[in-house]
Amino acid sequence: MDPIQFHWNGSTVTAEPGDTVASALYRSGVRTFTYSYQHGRPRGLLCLTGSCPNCMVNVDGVPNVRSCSLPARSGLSILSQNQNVYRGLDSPAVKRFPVAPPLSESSHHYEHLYLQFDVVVVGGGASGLEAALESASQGKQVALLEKEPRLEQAVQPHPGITIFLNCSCFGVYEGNLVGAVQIDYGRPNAETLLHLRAGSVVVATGAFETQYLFANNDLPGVMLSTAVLRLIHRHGIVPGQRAVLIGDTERCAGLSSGLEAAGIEVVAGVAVESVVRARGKDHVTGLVTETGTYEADLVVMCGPLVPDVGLAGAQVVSLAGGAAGEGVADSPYVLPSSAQSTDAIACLCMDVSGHDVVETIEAGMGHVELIKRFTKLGKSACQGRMCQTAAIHLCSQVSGQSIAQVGKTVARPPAPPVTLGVLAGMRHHPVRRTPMHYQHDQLGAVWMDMGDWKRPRYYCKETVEGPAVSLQDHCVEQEYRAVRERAGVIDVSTLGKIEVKGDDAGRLLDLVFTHNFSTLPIGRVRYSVLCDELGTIVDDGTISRMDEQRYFLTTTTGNVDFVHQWLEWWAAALGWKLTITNLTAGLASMNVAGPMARGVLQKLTDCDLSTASFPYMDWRQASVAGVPATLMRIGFVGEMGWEIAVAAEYGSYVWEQVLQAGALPFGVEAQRVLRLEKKHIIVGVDTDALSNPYEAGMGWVAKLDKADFIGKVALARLKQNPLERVLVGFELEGTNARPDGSPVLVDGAPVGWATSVRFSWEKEKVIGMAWVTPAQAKGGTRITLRADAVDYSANVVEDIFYDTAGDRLKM
Amino acid sequence: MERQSPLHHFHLEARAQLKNFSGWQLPAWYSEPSSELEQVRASAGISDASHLAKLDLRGPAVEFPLPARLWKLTPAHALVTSPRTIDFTPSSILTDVTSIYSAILLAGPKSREVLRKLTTLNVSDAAMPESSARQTRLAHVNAIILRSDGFLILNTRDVAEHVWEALLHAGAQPFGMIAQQQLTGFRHEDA
Repeated sequence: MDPIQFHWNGSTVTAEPGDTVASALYRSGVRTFTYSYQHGRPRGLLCLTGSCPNCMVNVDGVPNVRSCSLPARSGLSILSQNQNVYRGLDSPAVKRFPVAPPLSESSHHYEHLYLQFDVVVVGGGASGLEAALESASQGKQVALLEKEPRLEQAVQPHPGITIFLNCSCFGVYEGNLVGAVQIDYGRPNAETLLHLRAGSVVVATGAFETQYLFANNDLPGVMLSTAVLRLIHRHGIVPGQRAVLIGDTERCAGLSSGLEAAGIEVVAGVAVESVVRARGKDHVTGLVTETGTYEADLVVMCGPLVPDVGLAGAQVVSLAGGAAGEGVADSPYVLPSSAQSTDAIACLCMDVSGHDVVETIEAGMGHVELIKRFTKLGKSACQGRMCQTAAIHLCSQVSGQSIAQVGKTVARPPAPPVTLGVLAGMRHHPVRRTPMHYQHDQLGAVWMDMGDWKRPRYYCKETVEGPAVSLQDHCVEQEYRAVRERAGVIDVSTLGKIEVKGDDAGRLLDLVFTHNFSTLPIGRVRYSVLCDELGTIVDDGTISRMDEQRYFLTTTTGNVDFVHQWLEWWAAALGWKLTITNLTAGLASMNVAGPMARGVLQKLTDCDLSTASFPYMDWRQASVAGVPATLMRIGFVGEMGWEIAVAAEYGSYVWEQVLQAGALPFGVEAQRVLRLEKKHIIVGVDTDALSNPYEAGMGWVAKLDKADFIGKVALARLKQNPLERVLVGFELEGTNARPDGSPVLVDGAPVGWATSVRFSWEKEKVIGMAWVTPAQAKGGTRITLRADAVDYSANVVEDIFYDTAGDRLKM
Repeated sequence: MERQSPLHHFHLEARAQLKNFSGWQLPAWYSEPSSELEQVRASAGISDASHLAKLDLRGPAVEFPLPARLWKLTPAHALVTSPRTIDFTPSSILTDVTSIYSAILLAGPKSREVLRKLTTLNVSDAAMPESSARQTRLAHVNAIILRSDGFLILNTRDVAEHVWEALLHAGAQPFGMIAQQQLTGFRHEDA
């Protein structure tokens, strides 16, 4: 078998089977793994259990990976972190966070998995296993999560227990939702986010060993006993020659025999209170105590054990084993006098010293939550495991409060860090496509997003030299002229389509719209506006009466779900009998418009399209290119036109037939120019969340003489009150600039804004609509638009810009 | 004129052998029917079933002759599906929604593994037995999932490609109508 080799800061390191990156590095003589984030202090292995931040390295460009958890694999490229702070090249005052390069779609495998279990046990130690077996014996389905690559003790497969290895739980959320990340170490950036819904949760995460606080306690070579034991027993590495142990006599004695058996000379076991400082520059060379100095290349802390309950948080979980405090001696945490030095590092992640903590308390922030927020102690990768106990005791000592009074910080998920990539998961952003999507693509559609929908902004197959803006203008002008002079066709499948049917259909529409629909003759179409209780325009569209008890509504593209819910809500509130169906996805709709639209469409249908038999605002059932269709003679662009609706599965065929019959496709941009010339508003573009019909120049839609409808009371009052603002049309003077969305100024003060601004080929000028005060509403009034610090003069125009009488619609 | 599925573009890109199945233009196979069937039976596969006739029923359940099946979504809302056209009289409570919904048949022993990557719904046999129906979210869009010959996934047509891609991404392999007919036991007469 080929040896496992990887790169470490440019040199090659060989690993043995079973090595983690950390153990392989240590075996090869590496002692400094990384440098601290704030002061660039050298850091070496401390806990080796995934609790502390000291072995974090950059792996293949991904920062902050714990090398003690990462199995060694050939080809890895590993760098230590924050070397430039150590070398004095980066200012420690600058708060730099290592930035991971963006990962390409193919370079990661982030997935989500949604699972349900009766019981989720976090922690695969003895207590966790016992809890899992007990639940499984009662016939429950159990998930057992273990962050290590294997369980401590061998276990027979049990049909009721699913074991997840390399799986760190990061939080328990409302409703017993357990979040965990399972890492596939065989591939780079391969992580799965598990969403486990559990009947109950058992936290058996055990206890962790925490460090002591004394000067230079962060020097490489100063380790917790867990790290030393793992190096010896798991990896067969003798971590040093001469060791000094720190801690209570009993634990030191226990550890001492183990170290000596491995061939390490134990120089002394010292009590914590007598420790002055660790000696050494880049690695420990000895320990200075109040009674003497010991030469040593290893200082082992028999640190206090703390139950790991970071996951418990505010949720109801059962604690088992060490997490419940079992086997965790209630020994007091001892602070030596050097704990308050600037070299005694309490928070390894953020480089907060004992001195910093004392200063914070003396500045009046004597609560542990305040210390955390002011110093950042406990806010990073180790989540307080290495610092919180020290900080609490230091706070108690300095402020004179009891440990209970000082309290603990609230534990919140994520307990261990989680990559943003795995939280995001696979890229599944929905895209909504109309049945003619790929035909638009072939026609050279330049797409625009409308919510999740894709719509052609315009079509462009040419590659014309010059700036993109003028190319768009060129294409849009061709489409514009096709509609004004010949016949164009636009895909309107994204517009909302709703069917309302039943005994009370007419009544419901009378209630929610400003017009009457129970009196609309079958075969007719009517434009109307939907207002809320305040008289605000919420949506607009057409309503066709299909038969006695059936209506067909169109809505704006973005509002169909709202209108659907609004109708359902009022029907339910009144107990009326109706069936409301959102037909949008089931219909392919296109609007054929222009002076030659009749000729084009007549080629495809036997339906008599003459105005005499098919007048404006009528609809007919007809066959178009052999496909059953609904034709509605309506239009948004100011030309004679028909909207054709067919079942979605025939959409691409009918579209093709309409193009072959002579219609030219046009996109949303041309439509926006065409409708602006007609001053047709777009709800949500020209109106905002407060606009009412009177100020939008559409007072005629408010039928105050009809029986009660939603918004009637408000509209009646609005009609009495003087207008505060008005939506007007304007023409820009002497420029082709399009200051869309810019403020309208009068005497330098803003009075409104431009809602839509486009170049009109009809007027050979830039035209638009804008909100102004009633003082500027009269035709000919000069207003100023300001965009990018340039002022543009404009004149208010009261008339519609194109075909004022509306004759062309009815030709 | 043949009816086209919302996944038509995918079928073309995948160079599927397209044929007419009860008036719908659908992939008979992508590679080879027997290997597709083998693959589904060993792992997980997806097949375009958008041709299924679908009715939306508001109110008490009504009997429809086989092969139509009735799926209760709520006490007062049901869906009727059938591999062939359903004879019915439209009314204020009965609506033809065939064109609104795409349908994708997800089948094979690893179907659940695929679903578990995309939906929070509990799809275990105990929670979702044969003939049950659920309304849920799948790959961030609304979905109706029917338990029949596997899982029949209904979405509005506009997001059909999105869901199809998500299912492929989650590990399912496409299979054609010949394999689908063998799995469901329903044979289109003209195929």
